[in-house]
Amino acid sequence: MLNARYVESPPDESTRNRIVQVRGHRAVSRTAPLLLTIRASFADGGGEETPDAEFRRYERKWKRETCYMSSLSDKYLHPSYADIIGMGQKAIGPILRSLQREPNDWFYALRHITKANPVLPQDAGDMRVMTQRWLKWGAQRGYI
Amino acid sequence: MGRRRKQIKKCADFPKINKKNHTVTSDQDRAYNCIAFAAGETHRKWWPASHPDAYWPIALPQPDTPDAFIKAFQTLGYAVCADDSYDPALQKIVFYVVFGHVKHAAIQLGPNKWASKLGDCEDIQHKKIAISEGSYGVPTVYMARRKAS
Repeated sequence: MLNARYVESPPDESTRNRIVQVRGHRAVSRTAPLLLTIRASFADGGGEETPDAEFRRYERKWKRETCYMSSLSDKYLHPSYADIIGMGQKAIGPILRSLQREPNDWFYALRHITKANPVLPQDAGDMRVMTQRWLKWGAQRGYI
Repeated sequence: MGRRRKQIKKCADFPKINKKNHTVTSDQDRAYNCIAFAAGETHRKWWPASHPDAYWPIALPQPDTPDAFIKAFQTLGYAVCADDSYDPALQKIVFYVVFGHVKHAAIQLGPNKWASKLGDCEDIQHKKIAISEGSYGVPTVYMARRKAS
């Protein structure tokens, strides 16, 4: 995904150019969108992002921007959480590996992507048990 | 987890917080949230919703309105009360609300002294204003129950 933004009113307005910043490091003319795309690609590591890298990028933003939230509904509505669900099947491995590192609220995403739910009703809310059940589910299916 | 900050920094979520109106009292912990903390639990999350990722004492799916939280805490012996005036015989809690949606709960420790769990982060002791007027909204609904003797 292109991580770019346009900045209005450059110092030299006579050029009528807008400056495009890519991750705060690169600047090119707006009249060269192809060049921008190429540079953005290199800024992401010179090629296709791996599912793990893509997941971690969304995860970092989601954790940073939802850390004070208690509402699970609000956490699930965050755009980065939606992006992770939007990754589909390729997010399953990265999510489960994240759960191996530490429990977190990935259960809604896992249910939506896998259409499975190994968590028992009496375990609702218990992060440790819910995590264990999903990791067991993932190990049985070869995801981790 | 294990991380603990000395202070919570002023930010969009907490525009009123400062060094003088709060103290961090625990490490960060994702195992429980503010509602569980107010209910006296630290091993699971509480939240009313139609998804099964959190515990809720009432079986039917509930919206996150004050009414849902009032009904849930009524099961713990709480009743709605008028305000935050301190009575040592009573345990009081408060729900912070944004546009009719509950975002946070805190439990009273003393006159203008409250305890909260901040989302996935630390527990704090704080003045009521410290976490007001940001993403948690404003203290709106008070409940009380008699303390166990």
